[in-house]
Amino acid sequence: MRVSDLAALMAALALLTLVLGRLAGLPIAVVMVSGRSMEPSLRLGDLVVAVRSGFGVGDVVIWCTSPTYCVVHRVVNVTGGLVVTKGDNNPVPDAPVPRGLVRYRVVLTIPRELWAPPALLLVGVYAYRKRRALAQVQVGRVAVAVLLSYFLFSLTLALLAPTYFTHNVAPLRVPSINLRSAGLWPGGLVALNYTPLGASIEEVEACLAVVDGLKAPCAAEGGGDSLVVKVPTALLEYMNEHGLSILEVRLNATLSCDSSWRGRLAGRYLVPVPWRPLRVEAGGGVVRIYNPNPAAVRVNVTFMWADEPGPWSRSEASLVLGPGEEAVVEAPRHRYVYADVRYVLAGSIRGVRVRP
Amino acid sequence: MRALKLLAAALGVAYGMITLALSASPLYLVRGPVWGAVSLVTYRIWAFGSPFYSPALDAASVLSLSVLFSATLNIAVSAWLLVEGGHERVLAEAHVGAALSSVVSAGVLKGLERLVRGELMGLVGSFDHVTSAGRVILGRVVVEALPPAGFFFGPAYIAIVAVLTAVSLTHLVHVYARLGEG
Repeated sequence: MRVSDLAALMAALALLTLVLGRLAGLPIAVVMVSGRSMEPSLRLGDLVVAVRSGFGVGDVVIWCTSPTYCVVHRVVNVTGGLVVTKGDNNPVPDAPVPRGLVRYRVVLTIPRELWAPPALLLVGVYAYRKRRALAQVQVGRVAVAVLLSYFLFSLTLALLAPTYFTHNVAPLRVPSINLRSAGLWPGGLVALNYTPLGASIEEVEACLAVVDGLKAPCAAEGGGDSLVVKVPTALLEYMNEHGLSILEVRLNATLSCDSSWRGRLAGRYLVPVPWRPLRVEAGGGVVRIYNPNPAAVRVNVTFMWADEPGPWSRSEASLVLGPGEEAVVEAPRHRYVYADVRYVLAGSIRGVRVRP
Repeated sequence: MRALKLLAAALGVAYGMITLALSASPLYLVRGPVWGAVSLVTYRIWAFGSPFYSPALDAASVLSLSVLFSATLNIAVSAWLLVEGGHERVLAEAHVGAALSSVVSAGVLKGLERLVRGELMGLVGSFDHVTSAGRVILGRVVVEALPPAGFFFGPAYIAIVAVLTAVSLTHLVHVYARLGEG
């Protein structure tokens, strides 16, 4: 046997030992990166040399669940007997694996440009130098040699690359959005706050306020993680007069993940409308009435007065108090004066008697 | 005899070129919120606007090198068969070896088809869901097999492999018969 043949044989044996190291559980192994989950640290086709040793957070390790299914990822967390890894290029970490499944720690990376061309060149030169020897051999040997070279190439690929032979669909980060809060602000404004999970509101296409089967279009402004919906005041007044306290807001909006993708959101939100009694204060010859509700309230004020015992005289005043409005009504100047304030709130008549 | 040699070489080149062309062609189209194209050697898929990397499709790309190697081997040996004058027995045997590799490669291809299709079928379906914000409508993912996939993974491709092997073996038998006569 010539020296060059011996060297080639030794090199092939050494490579085979390293490649089989992963399967045989040797202290050192060579593995080819067969995915793009670790880009840019490790690229498809790069070779990694890994050893059996301790590891910590930040190390790139190889864990295997079977001889043919191994993963080369970075450790992001070690808790008790579980290890969490993640591909540098993956959006989400892998499911935790028992510490015992982690077989190797990567110590050296050989870029594909450094190993693939020289390896192909060596094989080519070796085959070219052996072409005359092949011509002399027995019948059928050339066919076997060609077929064998194909088998060896395919086998090396299968052994080098930790591959998937099971159908584990890669995890997808599906965009979503949750509602954080929905509440009524003064002025008939409904504030909707969202928690975006990879998707945010871009534009409201349609908005409808619904009460008791009555529908009215509403205007919505904002975007991202919050919207403000302006509910028609007529609808709120209708709610007040009919004693309704739940407002339904329906809206269709477009969701954006980035410039190249759009989703949609169809939301139906039930917003409680807390009807609060009017604040009525009297003193100094006047009656102050404040409306804290989101709808206008019609108020009747009846003054009863007398200067001496006898029949009471009356005078009336009507006014409409808008949402958040305050009115000051001057009382007649007499010795005995009472004011009877009556209004419709949440479908029922309320009344307050005060002395200005 | 010469016609058989030419036919064997032409079939080898045709097989190799078809395999290389089909390996690089888009075989599957993914449409919907996850979209892109998948060929045997590579893929470009975006999921909700971000690039999507699949370990199974990456593994298929690596293992497809086996199919590409067989195709290249067939082209090289067939070209050698056409160009080189002497070593008729060696060339015929090499051609048979390459043709037999295509048989194995067809089996590898079947496995890769299952791997790729299985991964893509896992993406098919609706991504609509309901949260506290309402119904989040993301759309439906559809995977469409393109005409090259039908040919690559269908009986026509197997037929080419079978004819290539048969013609190559016939050529080898003729070469040996002539050498025996001589």
